[in-house]
Amino acid sequence: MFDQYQVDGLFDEMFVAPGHPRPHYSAVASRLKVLGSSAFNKRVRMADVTFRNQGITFTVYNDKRGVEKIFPFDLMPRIIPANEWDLIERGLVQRITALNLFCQDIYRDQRILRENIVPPELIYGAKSFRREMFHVNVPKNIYIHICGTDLVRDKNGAYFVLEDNGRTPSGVSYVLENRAVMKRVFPTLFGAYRVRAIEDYPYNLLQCLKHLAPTKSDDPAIAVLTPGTYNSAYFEHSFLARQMGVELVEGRDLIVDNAFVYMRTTAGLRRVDVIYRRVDDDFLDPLCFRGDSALGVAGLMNAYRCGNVALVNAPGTGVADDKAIYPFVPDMIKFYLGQEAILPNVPTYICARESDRKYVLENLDKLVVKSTNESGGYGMLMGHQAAQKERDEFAELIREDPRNYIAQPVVELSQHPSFIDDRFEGRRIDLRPYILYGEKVIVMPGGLTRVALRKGSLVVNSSQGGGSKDTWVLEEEEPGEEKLPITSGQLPVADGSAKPIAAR
Amino acid sequence: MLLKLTHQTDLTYTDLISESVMELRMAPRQEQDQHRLSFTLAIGPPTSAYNYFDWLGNTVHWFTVASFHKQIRIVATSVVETDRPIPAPAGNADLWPAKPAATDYQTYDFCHFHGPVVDSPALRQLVEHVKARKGEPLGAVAMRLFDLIHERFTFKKGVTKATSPITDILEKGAGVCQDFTQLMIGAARLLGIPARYISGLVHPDASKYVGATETHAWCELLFPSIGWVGFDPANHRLVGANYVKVAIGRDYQDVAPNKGRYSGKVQESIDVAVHSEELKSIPPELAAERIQSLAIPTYPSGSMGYLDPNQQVEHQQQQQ
Repeated sequence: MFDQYQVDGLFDEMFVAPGHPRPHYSAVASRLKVLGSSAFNKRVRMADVTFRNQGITFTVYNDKRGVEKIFPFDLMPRIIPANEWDLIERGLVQRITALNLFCQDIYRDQRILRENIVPPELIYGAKSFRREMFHVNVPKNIYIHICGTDLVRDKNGAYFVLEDNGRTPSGVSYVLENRAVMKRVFPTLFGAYRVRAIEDYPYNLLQCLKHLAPTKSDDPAIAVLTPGTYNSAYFEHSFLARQMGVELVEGRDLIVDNAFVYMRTTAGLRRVDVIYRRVDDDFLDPLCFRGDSALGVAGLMNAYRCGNVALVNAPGTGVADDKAIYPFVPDMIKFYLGQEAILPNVPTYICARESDRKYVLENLDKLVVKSTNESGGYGMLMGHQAAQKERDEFAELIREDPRNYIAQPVVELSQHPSFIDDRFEGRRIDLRPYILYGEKVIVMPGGLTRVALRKGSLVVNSSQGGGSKDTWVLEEEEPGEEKLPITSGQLPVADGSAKPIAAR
Repeated sequence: MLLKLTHQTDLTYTDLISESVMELRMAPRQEQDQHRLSFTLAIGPPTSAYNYFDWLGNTVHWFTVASFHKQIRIVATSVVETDRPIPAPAGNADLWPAKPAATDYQTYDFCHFHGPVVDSPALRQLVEHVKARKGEPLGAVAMRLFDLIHERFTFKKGVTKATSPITDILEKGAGVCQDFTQLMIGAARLLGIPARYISGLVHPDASKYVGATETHAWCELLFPSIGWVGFDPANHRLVGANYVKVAIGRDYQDVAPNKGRYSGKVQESIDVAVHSEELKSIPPELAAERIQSLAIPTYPSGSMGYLDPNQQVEHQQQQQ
């Protein structure tokens, strides 16, 4: 299965060199060798059926073949050893702390602007800067309660932050579903590792939401606000609501009366204390933001200002994950926390700066250009792969609206074996861990590993044909502890037959 | 000047509506040259009113009426003392173009196009006619722009809408005070002069003010040495003590006196009346702020079916 596997001079997560797996992958490698590709194929089909039966889908806009898609699941797990995870976790805690202090500062004193650490025009020119949030008392002073930060590894295997998603990050439902399917399809392999549990995420999320309730009640009313069934992440909205045991509502189910938010139920109006909103700022409240929004609740922001309802995430957090602000995150960390960034950024050129813009326009064939206010891989140019015509079009766009673009050198993302046409081939991956900021910061051990399933592609976004993997973060090995006997004997396999597992 | 101002807004609907949510920017601002001694807000149907300061420091009152109703009445009464000599921008020492301090980003919002204040070739053409010369007094440039708008454009109702961008007045050559104001703001911003929109009320001590019986709009331009100076382009007058500032903003969208949503598929009509009088002395026992109720009826929900909350309409009123 790995006979023709190429490392291609990239950083490979599994292999140091062809035929030489890294220590934390050796058990997987030997197990798969024994299993063979037809048995592996069978499990791939089992997994696919599970996903289809459970309706685990997402939406790709602008696709004639239909918008609702099964999220491709790549059965080969990604494994992260404890020491690497420790670094990631510390880096992410530091980052979400700084991003929150930044939001707090931007919507209050603006010290970071007055001291010229971040250029004010970048903030004031950002579409995501919500002037309406000025001097609003945000519950517990937390703005970004849920953050999905995208990490990549370069040719040397060093971790970098590619971007933060501090508005309404999605994808966590796939992480949980991937794990559930993985456990079902590969119970013994999973059991062979001490993988840290992620199943407590919905519980942690619920605690994080409860922490924000304006009243001291033990049982605050919590709702997930979705734009509706046509939204690309509707599956996730309903999944999380169900997992947490809270209501799933649309804007039209809510009403603001006096300074409180109520939901319409069959038993009359019921007060809502916390709203996990998956509706963008623009559409949240037609009275405060976009007047043509039919997805929001008129007056919601007023109830929020009065402190009678908590919104998660707070409106206006887009100012912190704006791609043009991203280059300043290491400076923020220094400014607010007096620390060096544990996880570095990818170097970024800000097209709004004249010197950067000049460089970008001259070197479009070497750079990745991204629109600062888009996500999901839309509005993006992979300069080294694009045709001259596309590059010219982008150059024109940049000249017209430089504030809207940044550029980064191409990061040769690390690759990981993916099962493709009966054998394993290397495919590029990234990692989106989910961070919850409630009473304390909790980083979900693992996250969504996204795979660019097209050969050679560097774009992992699900909307651009990416898939995902289960991500295993390993427990720290306690000194002196006996390792579980995973290398010998006949272990039962799900298909009924029993096959020996080679010694590692 | 000691003024008592009454600002009454009547919203009537052809049929029952429900779930009204409304925001009001009707309380005069507290500024160095203008003191709000008293503000009374009466709302019907009876409900609770709340308030907050928006990001520009304007006082916003808001309320909801959940049950069925056919009419909303809002009466805002203020007693305001103004002490604002008529400005003399022409004699000012500031030069054009004014270089704002590099660290002063507070005026960013008043230097950039936004909302209905859009850049256009017609606007650039208009600004060219101002013939601003480097190093000449800023006041002279501002006054020439002020005069140019007065010469080129006529005050006429019904030509533009509340949501009209300034391309409308540029194209049609006519508009109401909202259009005049936003046009002057756009031209000033193009000239690099920070400019902001003022919504307010005028006490017509001189006889020929347009828009005096309704809420009025004018603009302020920033002079580095003396601060914001008021120009009323619709009346071609500089802003003195008979003007009462209620809200400031980048453009009309930031300052609409009343802005709301409701459920129901009906026609809405809006009727606004502003009355002002000069007082000789401060009335005794004046309350700083008071919220009152007006006896406007609501109807029990049993009298009608459930209204689709999607049928929400925004209502806004043009500043004339």
